[in-house]
Amino acid sequence: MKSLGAVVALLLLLGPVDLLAQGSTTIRLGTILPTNSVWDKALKRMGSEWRQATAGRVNLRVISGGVQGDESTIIRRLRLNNPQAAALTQPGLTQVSDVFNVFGIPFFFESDEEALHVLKELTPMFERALGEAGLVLLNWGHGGWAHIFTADQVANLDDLRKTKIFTSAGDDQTTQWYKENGFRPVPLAITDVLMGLNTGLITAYPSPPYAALLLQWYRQTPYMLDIPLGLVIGATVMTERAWRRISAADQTAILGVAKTMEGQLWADVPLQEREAVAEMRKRGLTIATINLAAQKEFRATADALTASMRGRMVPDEAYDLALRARNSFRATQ
Amino acid sequence: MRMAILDLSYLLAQIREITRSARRRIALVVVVLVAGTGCSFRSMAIRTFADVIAESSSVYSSDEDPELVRDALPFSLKTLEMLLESSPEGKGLLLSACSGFSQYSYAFLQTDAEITEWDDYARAEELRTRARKMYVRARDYCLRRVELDHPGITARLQLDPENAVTVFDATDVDTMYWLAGSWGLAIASGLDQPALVADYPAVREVIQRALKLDEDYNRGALHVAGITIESMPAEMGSSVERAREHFARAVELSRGVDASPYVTFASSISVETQDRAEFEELLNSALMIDPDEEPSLKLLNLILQKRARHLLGLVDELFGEPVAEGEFAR
Repeated sequence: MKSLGAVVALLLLLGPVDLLAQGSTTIRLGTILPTNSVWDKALKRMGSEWRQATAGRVNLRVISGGVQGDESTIIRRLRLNNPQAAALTQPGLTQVSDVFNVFGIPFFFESDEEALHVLKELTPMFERALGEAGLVLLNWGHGGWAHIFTADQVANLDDLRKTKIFTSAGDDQTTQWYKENGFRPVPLAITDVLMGLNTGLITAYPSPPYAALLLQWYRQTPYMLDIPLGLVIGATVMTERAWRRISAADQTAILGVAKTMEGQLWADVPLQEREAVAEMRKRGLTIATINLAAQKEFRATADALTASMRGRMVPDEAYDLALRARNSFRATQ
Repeated sequence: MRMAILDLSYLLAQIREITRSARRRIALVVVVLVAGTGCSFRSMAIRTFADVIAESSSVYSSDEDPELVRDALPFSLKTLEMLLESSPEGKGLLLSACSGFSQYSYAFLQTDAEITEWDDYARAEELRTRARKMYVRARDYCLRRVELDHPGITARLQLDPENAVTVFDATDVDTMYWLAGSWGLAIASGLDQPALVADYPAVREVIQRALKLDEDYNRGALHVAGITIESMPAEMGSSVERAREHFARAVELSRGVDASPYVTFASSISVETQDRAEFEELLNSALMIDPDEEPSLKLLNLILQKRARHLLGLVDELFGEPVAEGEFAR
């Protein structure tokens, strides 16, 4: 019996080690992105591929549709390590760090390629900012390009100044910035936008085309300005606490899968946006196009205005890095 | 968006309008199939064959074995399509095809996709894609049905749904219910398809108009759909309070023997408002319904109870621990 006791003791000793090496971990991921949307499906596909790539050691449970609360709540929950991961959108990321306000500068970027170039150049800075909040970046998401939808046709910045434009209640900096630059911002809770549009309280709002279609807001605003206001980025992040429990080899494997998902999203979302615009046009949306000369003027004016965001809404370092990366990209075009 | 009403007794029941004696019909089918001639004979044969299928509808809805029904239904659905090829404007056939494909998709594709999702995502995706395509097929049968009475209605529903629905009257409510159901379920399973998403206002307006025309239709079925409409994001003007009113009325009209209001409300509003106690209470209420109590709802209740058990198993995933405002503030 002595030998059996030794075996049991050995098993007890080895047990925990063995479990650590071969046991599986389940990562819960929260997001406000809608169930069955292109993002939700991509995340779930990624989870399925994580499991395959790690032979079942890393499992992902995607809880989408805002079931775990809004982004502020999800971010607070991340600090409790429950959920251990999240797919955050631009507003959520700015709650983690104001360096993400780079992507909130109006009319700063012109194309996916330009925005992606800046995103890649600034990734070390963004990773540091996420790291300070205890988060690890897994991939970048694409939320579509926000455009300004208006009740009346808009051809230039002066026209835009005349609209009553929605800003998020609580985002005092943006509201103040709009006011100082001659716009007429109307801060509202996002749940009051439809009421605001129906009553004329607001006559313009920025939104990616897909969201304007999904929420049906475009039916109150039959014009969409063709110059995009900005790219709505997103990021899939994991808490460092959860990340450390994954072996180095599995970390490499799941990062590879996450990168594949990123590439897929950066192809699928622009396609979805084009389809959304086409469907809205069939139902009465007019694209307010601005000719090339006017576009240049529009962007030059916007650049002069948004320079005042440096150091105030966007940290100096982030603003300078973004501007340099963007301009160097444009120089190569 | 979920439409949890299933009424398999409805499947093919509309074909009853063209029924008479079963024995004579079968004889006719045989005669005509053998002879294979004559337009009127052929038409009669189609009608009578349809009726033979129709008479089996309660056999489905009162069945205690959903797996048997899962295997048997496709034959009936394909038979309906065969009949529609010969009688493309058969109003009853069109409505039966719409309701039948919607129900098959909900009961046996979408529900399975939901249950499979966390264990085998690839399989769930396959099922969900099939479900979406089948809902679209169902919707198109309903649109063909309403076009017969209201030519041009499809385009009007897409462009100006608020005004388009005013042409419907009480005789349209059956079709309106299945039209909105199939269309809404197609959208909900295809939120990555802008061409589907764009038509959500048509679904909402059809349901709201149907509620005005026949509020107590089919033991509160329209109110269950109303719960779903009101569980859409608040940004779309939906209201949890109105969802509660629909729920209360649906339970009242169904006398509590239909699991669908409970499962629909729990899986939408209780989750959205993060009311775990309510979620568990409602799903347990659905599980306490005796499927034998109302034979016409037996199969529906069995399928919804399967879904209720699945949802209860997910309770820890759907309801995290509450996080107080300011807790772990940076």
